[in-house]
Amino acid sequence: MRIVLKREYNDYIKVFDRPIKWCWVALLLILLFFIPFFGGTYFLSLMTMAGFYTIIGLSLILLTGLAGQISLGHAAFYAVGAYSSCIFVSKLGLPFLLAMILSGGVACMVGLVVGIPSLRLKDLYLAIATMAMAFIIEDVITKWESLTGGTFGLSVPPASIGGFVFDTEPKYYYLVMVIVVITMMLAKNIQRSGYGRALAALRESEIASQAMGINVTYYKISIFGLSAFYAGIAGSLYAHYAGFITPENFTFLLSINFLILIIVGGLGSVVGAVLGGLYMSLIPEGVKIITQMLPGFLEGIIGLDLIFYALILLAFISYQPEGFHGLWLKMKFYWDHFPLYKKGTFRKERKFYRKKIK
Amino acid sequence: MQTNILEIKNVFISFGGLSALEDVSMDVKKGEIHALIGPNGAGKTTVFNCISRFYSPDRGDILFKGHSIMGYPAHKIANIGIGRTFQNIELFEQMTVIDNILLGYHLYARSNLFQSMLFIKKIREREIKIRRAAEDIIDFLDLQPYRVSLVGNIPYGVQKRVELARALAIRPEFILLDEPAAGLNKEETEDLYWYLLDIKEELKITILIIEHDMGFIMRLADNITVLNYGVIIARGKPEEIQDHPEVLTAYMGSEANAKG
Repeated sequence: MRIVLKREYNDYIKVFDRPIKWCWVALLLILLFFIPFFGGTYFLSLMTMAGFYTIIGLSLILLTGLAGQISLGHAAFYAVGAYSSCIFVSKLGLPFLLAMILSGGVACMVGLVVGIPSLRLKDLYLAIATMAMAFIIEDVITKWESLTGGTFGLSVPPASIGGFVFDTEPKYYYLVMVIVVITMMLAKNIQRSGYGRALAALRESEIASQAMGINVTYYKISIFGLSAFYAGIAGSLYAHYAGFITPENFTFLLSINFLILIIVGGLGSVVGAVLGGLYMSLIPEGVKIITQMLPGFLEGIIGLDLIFYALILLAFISYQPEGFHGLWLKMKFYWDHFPLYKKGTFRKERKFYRKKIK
Repeated sequence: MQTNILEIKNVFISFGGLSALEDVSMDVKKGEIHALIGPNGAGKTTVFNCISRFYSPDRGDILFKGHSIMGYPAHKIANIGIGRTFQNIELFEQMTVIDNILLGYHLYARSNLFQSMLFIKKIREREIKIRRAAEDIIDFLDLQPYRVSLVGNIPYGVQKRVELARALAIRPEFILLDEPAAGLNKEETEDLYWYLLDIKEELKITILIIEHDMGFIMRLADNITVLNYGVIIARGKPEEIQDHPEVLTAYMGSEANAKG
């Protein structure tokens, strides 16, 4: 059993309780750096996709995991980011980096507007309101042909920073990884600051938050804005990666997939977003392998993969509502407390997350 | 000379057709422990919610230190120095005791989004400062054994104390305690008595308290206001209240009723 002594107040604020963990992070970064050298192009593209999903995951973890607000409209923010970035670069001729941040800003504006119903609505009702917003935006994108190309889609020029064009797979991979690391650090900082604590308070009890002097309106709207900003950045990155976007890429199903992402990854922490992102990009491959192993008569049935996704989600909700991140914590706890581990240790946490998912 | 820290002037409030408070006026003097008592449903918590600005009275005015608070939104009330606890504990359950207390310091650790995203030095220093202050409160209320436990996992009596700690963390001049002794055992109530006296004498905080435990209240309070069906029926020192005929009627029922 290991107890980390905390001697200074600063020890509570640090990201990691023991310095050795920084070595692990460094090791992981080195590993990420070398992936393009030995992973094939295909694997690399999966990792790049995992990067987009991670940013989305962070966006939802801040919104749902931390502040307790739900959104079924994240595909819309993603779409707004993608389209506006594309328009900024190809029609207005802005440099990519500026366009990316601006498109995050545009998504943020939309997010602020969507945040307004969250002041009055909760849980399911909020989910429905955000869903309605997603449909509206989807429609606007489809119908506003002069700007978005409607159902024909838009072709997006490749990203470039100061004349350096990110046209090959490894180049884009590095770009995405850098942005993922930055967004992750920012999200972690939010989580450990007073701002993040206030958001968590909002999730637990609004009335008590007010009595503590927390301005509920400000926090709710700003977290919606921030979450949409993240989603917009992810959308912009996706657009420049895909090279071509149509409204088909941003359907309602995608919003639901994003929710699945954070449930499977784990709602509680920034690491959950990464695990969820990896899950989202790797699971289609896993399902492919499984379907190949199935007997021949099942081959070619449409929607078989969807059944697998659903089964995995169900399994997570009923047996592991804390997601992959919770599983990791549990494993760690098991080894730390080896002979003392008992089955009921995580009962409370499980109950809490299950309630939250519902 | 004692001045009034809180003045409630002719407050009326009704929900639908039910009038919850009718012409309620009361003064709380600076530095005293003032108790608000009355049978169930008398409107005691409604008074608290009016002061916290969760409810807006239909008529009347509430003055805090001589200024009307009717124009403030609910989250500004902590800002001007009024803390409170709730009848059914409203703690942040999935957070640790210390995090709950740190949230009480929210006013002193407010940071805008960009500052906290970058976690600039100022924020780190401020966090350390409020943690140090939170430890003082933990010492004051003897919460050391529970510092890092989740609030949901600690006993009820301690939760009540954590809520008190959180209310003290906003550094109030005036706190509203809604049944702090409800559900506590004898020993915990006795502890609470001494804590409250300490709060009054050491921290110089004025207390307005709702409580049903009469023995406790008679010992603790400097002044008592009695509320029944939204109307104030008596006010005065504990010994005056004890023998007040209308109070006895409100609590015990009248003799006529007893016979009938």
